[in-house]
Amino acid sequence: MSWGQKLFTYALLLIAAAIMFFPIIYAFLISFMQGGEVLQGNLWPEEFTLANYINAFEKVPLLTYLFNSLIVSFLIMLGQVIFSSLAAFAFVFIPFKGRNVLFFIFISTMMIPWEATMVPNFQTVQMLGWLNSYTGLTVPFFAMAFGTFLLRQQFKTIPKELYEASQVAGISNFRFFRSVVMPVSKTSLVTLGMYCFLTAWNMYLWPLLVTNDEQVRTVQIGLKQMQSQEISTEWGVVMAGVVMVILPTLLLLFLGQKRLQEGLTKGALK
Amino acid sequence: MKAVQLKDIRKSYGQNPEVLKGINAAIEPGEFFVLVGPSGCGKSTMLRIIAGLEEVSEGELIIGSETANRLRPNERDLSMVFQNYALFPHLTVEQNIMFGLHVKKIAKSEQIKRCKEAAEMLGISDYLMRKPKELSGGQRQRVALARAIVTHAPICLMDEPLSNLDAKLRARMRSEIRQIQRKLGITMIYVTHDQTEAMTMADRMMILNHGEVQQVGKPLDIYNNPQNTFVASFIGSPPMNLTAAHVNKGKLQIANKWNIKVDGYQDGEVIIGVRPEAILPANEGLPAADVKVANVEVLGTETLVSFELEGNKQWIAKWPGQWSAEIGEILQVSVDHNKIELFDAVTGERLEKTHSKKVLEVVL
Ligand SMILES: Nc1ncnc2c1ncn2[C@@H]1O[C@H](COP(=O)(O)OP(=O)(O)O)[C@@H](O)[C@H]1O
Ligand SMILES: [Mg+2]
Repeated sequence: MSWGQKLFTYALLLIAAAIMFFPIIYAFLISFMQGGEVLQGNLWPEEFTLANYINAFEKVPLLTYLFNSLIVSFLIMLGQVIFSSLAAFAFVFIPFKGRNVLFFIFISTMMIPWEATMVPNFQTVQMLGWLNSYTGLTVPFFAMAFGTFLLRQQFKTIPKELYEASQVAGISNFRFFRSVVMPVSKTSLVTLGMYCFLTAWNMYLWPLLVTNDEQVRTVQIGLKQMQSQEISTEWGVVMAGVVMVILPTLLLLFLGQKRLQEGLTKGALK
Repeated sequence: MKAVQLKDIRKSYGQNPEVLKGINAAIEPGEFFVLVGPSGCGKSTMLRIIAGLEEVSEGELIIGSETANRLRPNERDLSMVFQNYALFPHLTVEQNIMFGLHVKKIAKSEQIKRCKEAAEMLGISDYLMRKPKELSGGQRQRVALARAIVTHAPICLMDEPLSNLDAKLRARMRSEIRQIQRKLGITMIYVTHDQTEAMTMADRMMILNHGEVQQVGKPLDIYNNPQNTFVASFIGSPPMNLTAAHVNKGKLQIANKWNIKVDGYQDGEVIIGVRPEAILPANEGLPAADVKVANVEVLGTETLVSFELEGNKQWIAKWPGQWSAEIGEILQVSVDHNKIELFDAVTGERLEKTHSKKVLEVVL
C-alpha cells in the first residue's frame, strides 16, 4: 500500500469508528455533565462531576441490581454451557436411533422466536412458584439450541479415534467428556460462555415479567425505572446508570478477548 | 498371549450390501497376523469388529477361549494403534502414554515405571514432557506404540500404523514393530494395504478383497502359490504378469510368441501368470522369443524391463544387475517354464494339474 492509500484507509476507519462510538462516548460524557447542559446541546462537559453517579446510586438500588444481573447472567451462562455441551456430546459421540431427526427438531426450535414461548413459560414458572426468584429468571434459558449447534460443530472436529481409543482403554463417557472433549474445545466453550453472559445481561422483557420485587430485579429494569422516574430532566443521572451497566460488559469483552487469543494459539488441535 | 478366532463373520451397515461376507480365520497366540487388501475391502471393519468398536452382524468372534461378540472394547483385553495415532492434543507425551492406565487399577508408581520402560524401548524418553504437536510424525507414531505397549495387553491391533510416514522411516518402523512384538510375545493383528509390509512382517497373512478372504497363509507360500489371479496380481512388486492364453492339445499358446508344451491341463481358455523374475534374458539355453522394449527402470541392484507382448499388453521382467537396453530395441527373452502359473479364465481360480508332476516344455 502506498502512503496515500494508507492515509485514506486510516482516515476512513477513524471516521467510521467515530460514528460507531459516538453514542457511547456521548453517553459517557453526559454522565459527567451538570443539570441543564445536555439540553443546551453541549458536547463536552463544562466541568467533570461525579454528582450524577452518586445520584444514580441513591435514586435506585443500582448495586443490588448489578449484583442480581451478575448472578443471573452467570447462572444462565453456566447452565447453557453445561447443558449445551452435554447435549452436543450426545449428538456427536453417542449413536442412537433417530439421532439426526432429533437434532433437526432440536435445531428447528431456533426458528421459534423466544417471545412466542413467553406466555407458556410464564405460566409454567408461575405454577412452579418461581416468580421473583433467581430460579425463575434463569432456568427457562438453560436449554439452548444455538449453543448445542455451535458445540456440535466443534465436537465434530474431534477425531473419532480419540473416542475409540478411550473406549479401548475403558474410559467412561463422562470422563472422556470431562478430560478430553472439554479441554480440547476450550476456545469454543469460552466464546459460547461470553455470548451467553452478554445475552443474559441484556435481557429485559423476561425479568420484567417474572419479577416485581427490587430484591431480585436486574439492572436493565433498573435503568428503565430510572429513566421513567427522571423523565428527561436528569439525563446525566440516567447516563451514569448506563455507564455503570455497560462497564461489566466491556470488561468481560476485553478479558475474554485475551483469553480467546490464548486459547487459539495454545490449546487448539494442531 | 491369546488366540483370536473368527467364525463366519459377516457385517453390513444398515441396508447396504455386506462389507464382510463370511470371514473365517484362526489367529494363533503370539502370532504376527497381517490383514492385507486394497482400500475399501473391509480390513478396518474387520479390525474394528475384533476391537469391539463395531458390532458383528452375523457369526462368532472368540478371543482367548470366550465368545467376545457382546463384550465391550475394554473387556477384550487388547490395545489398539490408530492410523492417525489418536494422541490427545492437550496432554503431554507422558500423560498420553499413561492415559487410561488408572482405569485398570494400576498403581501410580507402576504406571510411571511402565511408561519409562516403553519410552526407553522406543527412544522417546527425551520428549515425555512435550505436547504431541511438538513432535515429528515418526515420534508421534512411537508415542502411539508406547501407549499400546504399556497396557501389557496380550493382543495388539494396528490399523495402517505406518501409512503416514515417509518411505525410509516406514522401513525402519517395520522392523522395530516386528522386534517389539517378538520381544513381548504379543498376538499382533496388523492391517495394511501395502503388500510389502505384509510380506516382510507377517508370520501369516490374510488377503481380503471385496469383503471376502482370498487366501490365508505364510507370505512365501502365498507368493509361490497364489490361489487366484487377484492374489497373484496383489502380492509381489512388480506384480505377476497375467495374460489370457489357451491350452490346445497339450500346448499352451501365449500371444503367438511362445508355444509351451503343457502336461496335465485340460484344453480351453486360461490365464497364465509369470512372475517378473521368471522371465529371463535368453542366454541360458532356453528357447527365446523376440520382444520390443517399451521401458527400462534401472534400480541399482536390479533392472525392470517392460516389453510389449502383443498389442498394448505389456509384461515386466525383473533382472538382477544393471541392464542398459534401448527403448524400442528387440530383445530375446525366455520364460522359466517351471514357474508358470495357470488360472481359470472365468473364475480366476488357480488350476491344479490333473497329473501329479508338472511338466512344461518350451517349443518354438
Ligand atoms: N460406518 C459405515 N457405514 C457405512 N459403510 C461403511 C462404514 N464404515 C465402512 N463402510 C464401508 O465398508 C467398506 C469397507 O470399509 P473399510 O473396512 O474401512 O475398508 P478398508 O479395507 O479400506 O479399511 C467400504 O466400502 C466403506 O464404504
Ligand atoms: Mg482402513
